[in-house]
Amino acid sequence: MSTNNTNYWTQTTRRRLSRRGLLRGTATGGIGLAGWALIGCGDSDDGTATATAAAAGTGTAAATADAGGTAAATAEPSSMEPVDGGAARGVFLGGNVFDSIDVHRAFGDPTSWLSNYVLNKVVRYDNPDTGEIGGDLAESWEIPDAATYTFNIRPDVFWQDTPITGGRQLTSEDIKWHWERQAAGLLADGTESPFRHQTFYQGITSIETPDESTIIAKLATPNGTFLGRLAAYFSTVPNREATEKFEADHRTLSEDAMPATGAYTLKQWRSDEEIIFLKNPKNFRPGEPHLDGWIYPLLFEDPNASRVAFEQKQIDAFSSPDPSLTKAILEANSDSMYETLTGVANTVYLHLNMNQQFKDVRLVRAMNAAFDRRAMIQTFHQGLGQVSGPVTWLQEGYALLPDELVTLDGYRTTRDEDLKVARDLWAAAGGDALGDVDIQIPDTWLGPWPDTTQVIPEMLNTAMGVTQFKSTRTTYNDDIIPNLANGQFPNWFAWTSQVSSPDPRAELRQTFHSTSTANFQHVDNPDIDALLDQALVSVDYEESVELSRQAQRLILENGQYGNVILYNYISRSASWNYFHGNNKIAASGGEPGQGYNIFAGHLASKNVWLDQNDPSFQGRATVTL
Amino acid sequence: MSQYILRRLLLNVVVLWFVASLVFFASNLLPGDFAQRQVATNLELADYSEAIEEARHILGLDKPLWRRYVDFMADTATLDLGTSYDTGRSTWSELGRRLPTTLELGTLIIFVSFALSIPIGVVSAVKQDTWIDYLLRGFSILGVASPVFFIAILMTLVVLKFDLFRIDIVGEPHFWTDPIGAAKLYLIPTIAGGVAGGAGIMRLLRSQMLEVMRNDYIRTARAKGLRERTVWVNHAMKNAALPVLTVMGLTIANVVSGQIILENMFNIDGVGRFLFTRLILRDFPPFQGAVLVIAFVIVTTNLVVDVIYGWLDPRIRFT
Repeated sequence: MSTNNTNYWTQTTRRRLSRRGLLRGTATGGIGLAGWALIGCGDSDDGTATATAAAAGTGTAAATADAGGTAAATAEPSSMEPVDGGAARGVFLGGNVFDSIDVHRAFGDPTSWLSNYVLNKVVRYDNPDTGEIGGDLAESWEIPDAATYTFNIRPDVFWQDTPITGGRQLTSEDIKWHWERQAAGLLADGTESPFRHQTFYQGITSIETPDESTIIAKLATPNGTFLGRLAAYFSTVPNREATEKFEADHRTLSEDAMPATGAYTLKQWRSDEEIIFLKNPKNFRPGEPHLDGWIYPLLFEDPNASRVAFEQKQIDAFSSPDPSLTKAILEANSDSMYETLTGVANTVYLHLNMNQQFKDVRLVRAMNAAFDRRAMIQTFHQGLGQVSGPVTWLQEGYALLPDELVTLDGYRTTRDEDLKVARDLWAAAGGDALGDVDIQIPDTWLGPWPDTTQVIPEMLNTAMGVTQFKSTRTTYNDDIIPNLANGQFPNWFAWTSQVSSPDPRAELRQTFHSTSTANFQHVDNPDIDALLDQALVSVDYEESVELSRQAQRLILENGQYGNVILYNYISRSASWNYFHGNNKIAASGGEPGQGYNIFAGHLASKNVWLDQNDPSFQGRATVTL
Repeated sequence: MSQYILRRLLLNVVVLWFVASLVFFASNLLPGDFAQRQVATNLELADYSEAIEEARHILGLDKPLWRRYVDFMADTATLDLGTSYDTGRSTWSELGRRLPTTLELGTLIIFVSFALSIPIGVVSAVKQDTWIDYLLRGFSILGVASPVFFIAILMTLVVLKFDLFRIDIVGEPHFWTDPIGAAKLYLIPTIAGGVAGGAGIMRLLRSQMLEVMRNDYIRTARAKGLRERTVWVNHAMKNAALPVLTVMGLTIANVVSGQIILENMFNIDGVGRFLFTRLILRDFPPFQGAVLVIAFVIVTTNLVVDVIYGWLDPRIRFT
């Protein structure tokens, strides 16, 4: 790994900030994700960041470790060996609704998140933040060119033994069905149904299965992100027989609908009742999982309930919507709890419409510079956040490094320079002539932060020295999404897309490539097109990172073309010391643990265990599976 | 009397129709529906309209509002309160599952509420302008002024701080399964709910008692040489109880609607928490059905209270 590719945290830590300082200045969350991630907080991982497995094509073994830049990532690895046994108890914070038991047809994320405990993917992210890919159902693979992928499927994967599956072996035919069904968008009886990832799988033009353990996919166009998509949290491979059996009634939850191949089996999956996972005795990964199982109790709608449950050790980890409350609990129990800071996948954006009011790119550059990202982080998130460029800092393998980012407009730590840039650009482009500029705020944001309609105009008016900014309420589903394609969308500020993958190439291309149907700002920059095209077909990690970073620089020079990414905030959680969660860096020496920022539920079986000899384990409520 | 009751019953039907219509249209005014919530994360700028439309079709949410209203009223008329979009269970079944829990907590709250308010109201009046009166009035004013969640949080913090006992948040203990666990779980919500619910009754009862005590018939009773205790209990309290009865009736009715705040705070799976979660999920059939059931209990309780009025005060005539 080159120095440029060193871990995002490492770079900053080494050069400027203490680790604690860095962690204070960074963050992430996402209620749904946090709900699952809470119990998925785990012990140390070596944290080495490389995705050369993709190019080398030898699966886990090829996930090379580079000691060069991993000081922070490898710092304080837990010296304790995981111990098997015990059951953990997690908690949903908020209303997770499972819209389908069919992972192919589920549009909401909860089903995908749950499936990561039960099912496997063809490949998986061994480090979800940096993009290090390892084998999962495939033990190795070859990529002769970016349009041909050959996977060698493990011979020791068996479906959970149920009357539906008979405990048969998983073969390449299962993977073939998994891809073909989603591409076709058809149920077994031939009827059409919406499939969330149909477009992606339609990019596979032919699938061959020369034998039970080999599958070859040929793509319509070279795509270096193919492997990453197969590793995404929503790419779990379900059982064909069970899926087809429940096709007609795919909205009624049933544990029979998801026979396992993975670490856990589903003992109970019913609406409005506890979700119970049990250790899968047939899991193909030796020694995993460490837990006998775990339970997600009924929804806790009130933080008071989860706080009481946590402080009395009825659940093992806790995150209050108010980070200061979590902090207070941690401080009161500093000898028996540890802190974990995890980036929130919901990226905070400012979207300006370049088809209408902001046609002049200088105007969006001015807005990009004027927006006080750090003030927003202080105002809305108690300082728990870190500024993001076009690729968020959560995707640390591909993001511009912090040292570079803080030299660019809108990201400087000295505000005066940004303000001068903003005012000059605004004046030069005739910003005053725009009249009222309405920055609309979706109701989903105004729920937790109702005063945003005052904060945003005040900040922008002060920054620009004008009085023309105002702010009103809007909705995603009524005002924004229906008007994206026709270019009539409002200017708006809120969370928008979720960060679901460490590899941002497809998203960058989707947003900024001139031929993309989702290029709602009608960006047409041949240099950016060329970089994104080259990055997309690259199967070389370092090359794809460099190309992506070059594209980001051009995007930033143009004020992010109105898609002004601002920051990602941080979720703070507390865990009892006995609970070794799904953390990339375990808490140690009084330092907080650093969580995986991108969904890492698939690593829970490897990382999560209970230290029943830890003094904090005393008095823990018994968990009966 | 029977004619009065019949008339009130008919009026109650109109009230229930009004409530049903109100809750139906009000819930449909809320942004979003269950299909949208189920399918879309709201934060992704992806067009999931096809999936949302399919979900709406399956749930019947794609029908015009008037058609859904007609269906809803027709079903309600046959006591069919609909089926939960989320769980697929009928509203009756969902309510039936949670009503015992709500009654369990509600009964305790009512007991504490009345056990506190009646003696305090009476003693405060009897000991008017003494230090006991000041103390009890202070207590009742504090109870009125303190929101139920505030009392509950304070008590919870004390329990956590001194590790007094385990509040079984996840185990769902009941008195019929785990009496000790249930007692610990319900202690704080019972006291918080009892104080908050009883504080108003304390003050009302005190003022009523003082007003009654100034009446001529009380003076007459005393002039007849009756013992002071007899005057208070037999002559004053019965008359002072009339307005208090109305408040008590509503308190009992509220028990059925559940203690939304307390049930949520302590993860008690009762009717109140059910109502709240259904509303958040936009799972309207059970929400609307539950509101209707609660409305039925309230109007019926009011009728019963009115009838009891007549029994307590023969001067009241039902016309």
